[in-house]
Amino acid sequence: MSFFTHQIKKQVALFVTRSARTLVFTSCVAAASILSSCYSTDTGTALTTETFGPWVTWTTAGQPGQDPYTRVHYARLGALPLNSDSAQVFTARTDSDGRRLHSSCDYLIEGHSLPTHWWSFTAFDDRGRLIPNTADRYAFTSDTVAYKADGTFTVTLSRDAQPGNWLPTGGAGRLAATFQLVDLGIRALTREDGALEKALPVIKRSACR
Amino acid sequence: MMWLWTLLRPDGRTIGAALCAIGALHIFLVFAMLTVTPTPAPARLTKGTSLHQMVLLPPVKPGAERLPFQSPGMRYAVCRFDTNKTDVAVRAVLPDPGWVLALYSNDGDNFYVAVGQPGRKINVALQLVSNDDRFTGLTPQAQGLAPPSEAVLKVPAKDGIVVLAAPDRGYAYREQLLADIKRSSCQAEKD
Repeated sequence: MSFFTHQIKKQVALFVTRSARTLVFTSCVAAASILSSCYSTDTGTALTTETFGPWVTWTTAGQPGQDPYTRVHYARLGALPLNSDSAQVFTARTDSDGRRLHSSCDYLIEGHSLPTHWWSFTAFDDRGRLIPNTADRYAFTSDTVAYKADGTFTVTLSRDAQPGNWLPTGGAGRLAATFQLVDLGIRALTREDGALEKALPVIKRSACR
Repeated sequence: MMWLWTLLRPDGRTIGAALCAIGALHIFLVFAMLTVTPTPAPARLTKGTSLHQMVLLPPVKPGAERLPFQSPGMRYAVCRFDTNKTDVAVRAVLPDPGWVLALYSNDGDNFYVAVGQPGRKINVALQLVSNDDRFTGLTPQAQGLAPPSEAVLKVPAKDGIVVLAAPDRGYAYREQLLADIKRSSCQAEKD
C-alpha cells in the first residue's frame, strides 16, 4: 500500500513540476515577445530607426511602403509624418551626452545654417505637447532663428528668460525636442558622407537647478 | 533568476524552441497591433472640416494641438478628399522653402509630396483620380478638347486628406502667408 501511495505522490510531483515548467516557460516566452514587440514599435531598433547622437529618426516614416513597426509606431503615437524621402523628423529625448532632457536644466542647441534644407526646431513635453509659456514661443525655424555672423546658431532651452534664441521649458518635466528637415529639392543629405549627422544640432547641458 | 534556471533546466532544444516561439509570437503581436490599432491622425487633423474643401486650421498652440509633435512653426490647411464618386482637383502655390503640399491616405501613407524651393514659385495642380478600373469618361483629348492643366494623379487610396503646411515667419509676413494659403483649393470636379 505504501509503495502504491509513494508512486502516486511521485506521479503527482512529476506532474506539478512539469506543469510549473511549462507555465514558467510559456510565461517567459509571452513576456519576452510582448516586451520585444512593444520596444520595437515604441523605441525602434536598428532595423527601423537611425540614430545620430541624441537624434533618432524612423527611416521609412510616412512612406507608403513603410514597415509594420513604423506603421504601428506612428499609429500609436497619433502623429502624421511626412514621407521620409522628402522630410525627416529627428527626435531627441537626451542631450548629446546621453542624459535625459529635463526642464530643470538649461540646454544650448548649437547648429549651423543649411542652404539645402528648411528646418524647424521645437521643444515639447514628454508626450509631444507644446509647453505653455507667456512669451508665446514654441519653435524656431530656419526663417525665424537669429544666426550669428559665421552662419551658426544657438537656441537656449531654459525655464528662465535668456538672451537670443530662447525657448521656454516651464515646468514641463521630461522634454522631447524635434528637428524637422524639409528637403528643398536641391541635394539630399546622404548618410554615407556624414552630411546628415553634421546637419543635426548638438544639444549641450549648460546648467541644472 | 537562478531559481528560474534551476526550474527550467534549459538545454539547447529548450532554448531553441523558446527563441522560435518568441520570434513567432513577436511577429504575431506586431501584426495584431497593426490590425487593431487605428490611424487616428488624418481624422484628428480634419475633424470638423467638410469634404472637398480646403480649410485653414487655427494656429498650433498649447492645448489646441490636433496631433502630438505637431510643428507650431507652421500654419496648416487641410482638405478631406474622396475619389469614389468624383475626381478631385487640388491646386496650391508653394512660394517659399518650407512650404509642403502632402497627400495622405487615411492609413497615414504620404503618397505624394511637393515642397517649396528657393528662388522659384511652385504651382501645383493635380487631378486626383481613383486608381481602379472604372470608366470615368472620355479624356479631353478624345473629345477634341484641350488637355487638362492639372497633372493626373492616380491615388492609391480612394479617400484621404490633403495637407498644406506653410512656415509662419511671424507677424510681418502673416497677411501674405494667409493670402498664399487661400490661393490653394481642393474641389470635386464632376459627379
